[in-house]
Amino acid sequence: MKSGNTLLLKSFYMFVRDGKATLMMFVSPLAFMLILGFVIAGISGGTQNVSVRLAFHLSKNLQPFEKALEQEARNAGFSAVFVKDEKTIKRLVSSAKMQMGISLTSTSMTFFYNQAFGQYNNYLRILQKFVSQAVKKRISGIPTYVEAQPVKINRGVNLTVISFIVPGAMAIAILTACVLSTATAFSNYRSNNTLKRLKVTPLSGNTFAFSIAVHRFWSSVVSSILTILAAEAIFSTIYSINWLLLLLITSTAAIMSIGLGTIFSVVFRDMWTTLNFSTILLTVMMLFSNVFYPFSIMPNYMRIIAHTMPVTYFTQGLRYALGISPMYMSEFLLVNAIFAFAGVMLVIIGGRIMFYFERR
Amino acid sequence: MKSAWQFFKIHFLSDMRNRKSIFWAMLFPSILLFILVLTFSNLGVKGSLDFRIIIVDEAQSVKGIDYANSLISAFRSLSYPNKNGFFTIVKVMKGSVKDAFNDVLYSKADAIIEIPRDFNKLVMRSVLFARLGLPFAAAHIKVYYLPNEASSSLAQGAIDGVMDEVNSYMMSKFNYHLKEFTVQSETIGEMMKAPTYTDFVTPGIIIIGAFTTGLLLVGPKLAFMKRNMVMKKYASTPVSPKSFFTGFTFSKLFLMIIQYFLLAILAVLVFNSAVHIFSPWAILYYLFTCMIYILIGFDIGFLFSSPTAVSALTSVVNLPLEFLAGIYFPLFNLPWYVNIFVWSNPLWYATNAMRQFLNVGLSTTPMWLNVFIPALWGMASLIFLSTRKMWKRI
Repeated sequence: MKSGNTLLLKSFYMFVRDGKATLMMFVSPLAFMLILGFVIAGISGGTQNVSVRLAFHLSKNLQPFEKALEQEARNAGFSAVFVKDEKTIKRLVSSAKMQMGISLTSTSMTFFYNQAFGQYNNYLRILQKFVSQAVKKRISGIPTYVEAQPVKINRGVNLTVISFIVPGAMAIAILTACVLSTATAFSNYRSNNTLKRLKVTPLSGNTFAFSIAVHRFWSSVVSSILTILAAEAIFSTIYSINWLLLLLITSTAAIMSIGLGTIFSVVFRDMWTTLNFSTILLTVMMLFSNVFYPFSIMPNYMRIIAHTMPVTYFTQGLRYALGISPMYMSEFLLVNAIFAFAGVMLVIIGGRIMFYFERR
Repeated sequence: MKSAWQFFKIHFLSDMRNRKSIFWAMLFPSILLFILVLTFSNLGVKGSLDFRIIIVDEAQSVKGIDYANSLISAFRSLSYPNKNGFFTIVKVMKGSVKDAFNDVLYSKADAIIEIPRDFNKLVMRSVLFARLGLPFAAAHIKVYYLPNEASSSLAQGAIDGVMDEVNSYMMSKFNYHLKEFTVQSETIGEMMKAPTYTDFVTPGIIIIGAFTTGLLLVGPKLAFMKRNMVMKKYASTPVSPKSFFTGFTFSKLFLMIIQYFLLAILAVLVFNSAVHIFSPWAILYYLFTCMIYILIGFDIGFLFSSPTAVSALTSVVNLPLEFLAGIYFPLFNLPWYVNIFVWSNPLWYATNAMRQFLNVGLSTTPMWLNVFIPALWGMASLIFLSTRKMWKRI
């Protein structure tokens, strides 16, 4: 017990003195979330649901409707700029100052895209369908007999793209920080032969692994809270946070990630391989999960893969705790129980195996 | 010349034998390309959007007239398996809308469309008033959704977006003639027909590959050689620093050329990309950027003495530069303080230029800037190296 306490204290001092470890635990999740937040919010229009910058050109007979069109575009989440000719549209779209251009006459409508925007044009073409139908209906003089009136089923906060992305970015950042920080720490101790020296002491592998894990655990929980608060301040995200559930999911996911880091450092003997494997695995997890996009826009095979990734459940749990995703409470508790159990088991098994391999 | 050749051979063969070098130069960019293509190539394409909708029909017919049926047909025409589908109609049910709430609350459906009891009466009145030229109010259908759930919010937006089409569809069923109206589109800077996500991402991956090689195979290796006194040992031999740097630099450059063709061939043969891999301008520009990345690698290698510190720094530098280069997604609407990083990011210019040279699409930045900014980085690196007295340190 006494050796455990001493080791905990020693590990604490080593952790706070280790600039790289603290940077990884506190700064990298924040930096990761900020970069992803800005890039993805930029594509989707900041804190709005949809905001596409449109360059609009109207033929002479339609120019009196400019104000009405501008208002309608704004209501639909577009930011429309009216220009004098198609040449200007092409210039603005080709220099990426506008995402799409529209030239409208009373008998035709031309949409302008920039090929350099790649796959993003597919989303714009979906908008093209909505916009052209709206214009066609008005030009044909079809009255609106039926309107859709949105009704919220619950009083939850309005979801914006950025508030959807933040928990995903946070989940992947915490997972990355915990896995890499734990794996690096153990691999460092192995390459310095510290583990060999500890092996000849009465200290058990479990106690040692536990002392490393504890400081990664509390720091990741603190880091998560700071990241959420920073997101609220920077991106004006509004969540209906259940702090108890948030602490629970962050804690159990941190435990699971630390367990994964421990096992990676056991399976791969040198630090480079550990880091490389972790990087690849985390990239796969990041892209094949619900971190950046909801299941509804994933192809079927991706939905199946996403459900095999722990980060999917972490993200889902985080969104539930932040009040932006539905989930059964029993399912939430089950996810937490599995994370905690798996994490603790991996740390215990990893610690034992790690010391066992140092016997020679 | 001979010693430069020797250095070239030693470093190139040592990289080819080193699994870490092989990983970062060959495997990592290939795996990244594979993952990105698999992940993003289906996103946003027709058929990938699918929201699950429940329609609750509470409307009562008025003297045998049932507009609700036309409305349901209109929604059916916009749902799968029709080719212009946006959503799947999970079920059409009679009864109370409350019975369907749990399906949305627990993600079995994304939204509910409720056709209210007095729907037929209201539409009938609107049609009559419209014919008489009197003002009228539209009949409302209710769309129940969860504001805090992404799929549900998107589904509500999609239903709102198709309402004009629904009205037009219903009117066409009443023999209302739509005016002739043509919708066309034009793609600016079209260089190839219908580029795929593979075409979009391949130039960026080629640039990332070169950048990672420049950073991770130059900086840490120099730091390692400094740490193990290899440089000092070279200094005690008659070889000139120039031979060492020439041989070392060209070994990395050669590795990057192999990397270019490996990635390009992988993209073309495995992922059916239509990029012009043998474009002379693309290869020339690639060599130019490779030289810049090698110089940056030299900077990092001379800035730190510990290989671990160099590796950590390169990882920290790598991620923001990649995301702020528009490699995975185009960059829009960024705040000015983030744009400063984008405008000074050499990877952004290189990706834009390579997209044009590989025939994917016109660069969004002027070509002279695509050369000038990376060249500025190269100049800055050279100035930095000269202040570190690199030549004397060997």
